[in-house]
Amino acid sequence: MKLIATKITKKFPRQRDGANFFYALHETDFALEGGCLAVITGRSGGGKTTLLNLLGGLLQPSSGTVKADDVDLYQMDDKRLSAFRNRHIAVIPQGVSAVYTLTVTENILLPTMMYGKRTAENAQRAEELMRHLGIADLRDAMPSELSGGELRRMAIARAMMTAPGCILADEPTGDLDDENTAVVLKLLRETADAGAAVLVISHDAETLKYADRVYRMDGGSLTVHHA
Amino acid sequence: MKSIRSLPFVNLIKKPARSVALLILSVFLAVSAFGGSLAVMSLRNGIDSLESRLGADIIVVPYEAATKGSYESVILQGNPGAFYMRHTVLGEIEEEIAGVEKLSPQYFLVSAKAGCCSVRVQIIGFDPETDFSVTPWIERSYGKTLSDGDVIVGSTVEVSTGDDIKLFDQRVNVVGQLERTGTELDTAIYCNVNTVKQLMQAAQVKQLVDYNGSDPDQVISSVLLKVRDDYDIDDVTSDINLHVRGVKAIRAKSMISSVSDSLSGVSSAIGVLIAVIWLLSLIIMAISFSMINQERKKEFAVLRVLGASRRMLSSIVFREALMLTCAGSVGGILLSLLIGLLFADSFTAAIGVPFLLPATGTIVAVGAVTVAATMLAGALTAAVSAGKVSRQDTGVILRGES
Repeated sequence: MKLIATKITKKFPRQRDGANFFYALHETDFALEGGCLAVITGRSGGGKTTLLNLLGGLLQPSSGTVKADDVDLYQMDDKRLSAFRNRHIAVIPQGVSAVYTLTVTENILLPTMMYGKRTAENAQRAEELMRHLGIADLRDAMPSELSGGELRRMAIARAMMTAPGCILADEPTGDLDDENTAVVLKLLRETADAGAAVLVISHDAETLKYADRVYRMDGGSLTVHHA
Repeated sequence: MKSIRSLPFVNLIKKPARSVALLILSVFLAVSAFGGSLAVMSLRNGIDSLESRLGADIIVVPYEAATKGSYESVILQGNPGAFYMRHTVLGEIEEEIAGVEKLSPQYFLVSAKAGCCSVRVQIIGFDPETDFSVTPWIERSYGKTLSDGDVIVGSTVEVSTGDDIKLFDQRVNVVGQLERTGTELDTAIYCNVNTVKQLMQAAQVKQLVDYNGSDPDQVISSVLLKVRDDYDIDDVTSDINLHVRGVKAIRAKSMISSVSDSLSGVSSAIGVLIAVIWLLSLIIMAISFSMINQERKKEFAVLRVLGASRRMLSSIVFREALMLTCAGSVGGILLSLLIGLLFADSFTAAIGVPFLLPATGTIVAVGAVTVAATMLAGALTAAVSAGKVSRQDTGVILRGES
């Protein structure tokens, strides 16, 4: 999958410097093709998460377009965009992103159950992902029983569940120790190598080792740091 | 969980405190709507039963009974009691009063302690030849005319049809049981004029009753009158009071009206109470859904990230609300029925108005309307907050929450 953002901006209402709004993202062009793992670094509040949400079809841009394989995300109605996201774009949000009424396994299977039913094949894939990420023993646990790191790994397994063409991960190694950071980054790298377009937002220097391209984002402006 | 369709149910089960709080609100809504409507309908039924039971335009009683108010206690509430006047009153009314279509005497007697009963029982005698008040009521339950020595008993008298019971040492045969009126009349025994005269004689022999010094054959307790359509009931009532000595004629409607007035007061109070409870419960429900959904913003955002559409999200919130309000309303209906069945008699005693539950079909219909109204109320309040939540940009929620 190829994700192309053209001249996208995002402004939010806020009183600042005499204006009624501010730009979280200045006009930006961005492209991410299958097989590539790109990393965006930068200070907090620089607009990284805003860009990720815009690319994931989760935040309407103030101007510009976002296309996934020539499909303009924001020209689709909500129903089609949601179904498209479910099938093709996996977003790993920053922080905790569990559904607390479901077990770890159910959380991981959730994307496959949005538009279908739980199958033995899906359950097996969920089991493999849990084993790979070291949370297989927690399959029946509730999210409230998990540590921050375990919850992150659960979110990563969930994102991998539908084998999407594009993975957008916001601080995926934020709560992880070195060992698990390596496991997660290796998994993301393998996913990219298998043909997916992977974007990782991270402050972690370790992430850069796995990147094909590195960007820096500050004050709503994106610059290529290392290609 | 097999599919996303099960998520609302799983959410309710896994968040019991939240679910129970909303369930209690739904129970309140259902109890107020169903219980309140049932109470008003039962009271209306009670009054209708009283009116049809009375069936007369005017009741003539001894003057003393009227001044003491004891006639109301006996005739309307059916409390055990008796009063007597000369039987010639019947003829005097027939001769002197114009506009009388039908008239019939009644005879009251109170048993000391019947063989059948542990309490004093009211015995009411009537003349099958002329009666238009008790007979239609008896015909509905018994279907035949009472013979001499036969009695028919109120719905709560603990005897069975076919039993022989002893009243003042006289053996009488129970031939049937009447339908419930919700009043003390349900504890009375009814018989024809010959039987009641026989019982009155026996009571006199035992020196248990005094008929104002007269022979039992020479007294009656009351006269029930039907007025011809071309005559004014108030005029006929006044005529009797003017021309017949020692009696008091009372318009039946005025007897019922004091009960009806209290019913109308109770109905209005219940109506206002239902409206207030619904208004408060709807406000609390709307606030609760809004607060709960605000608290679940991140959870909804996660579902959106995973591919849930706005419609899917609204449907989850909506179905949770429908399941809760459906369960709550059914619980509220059962609770109301239980309260109604357990406390109907105490309610009657407390407000002095008979309390008769409507027919099963009506109860089911009111129940169905209550369930529908409660679910609609829950769905509407949930829809408002679900709409608000689903309209929020997922990216903005994630940005704000992270």
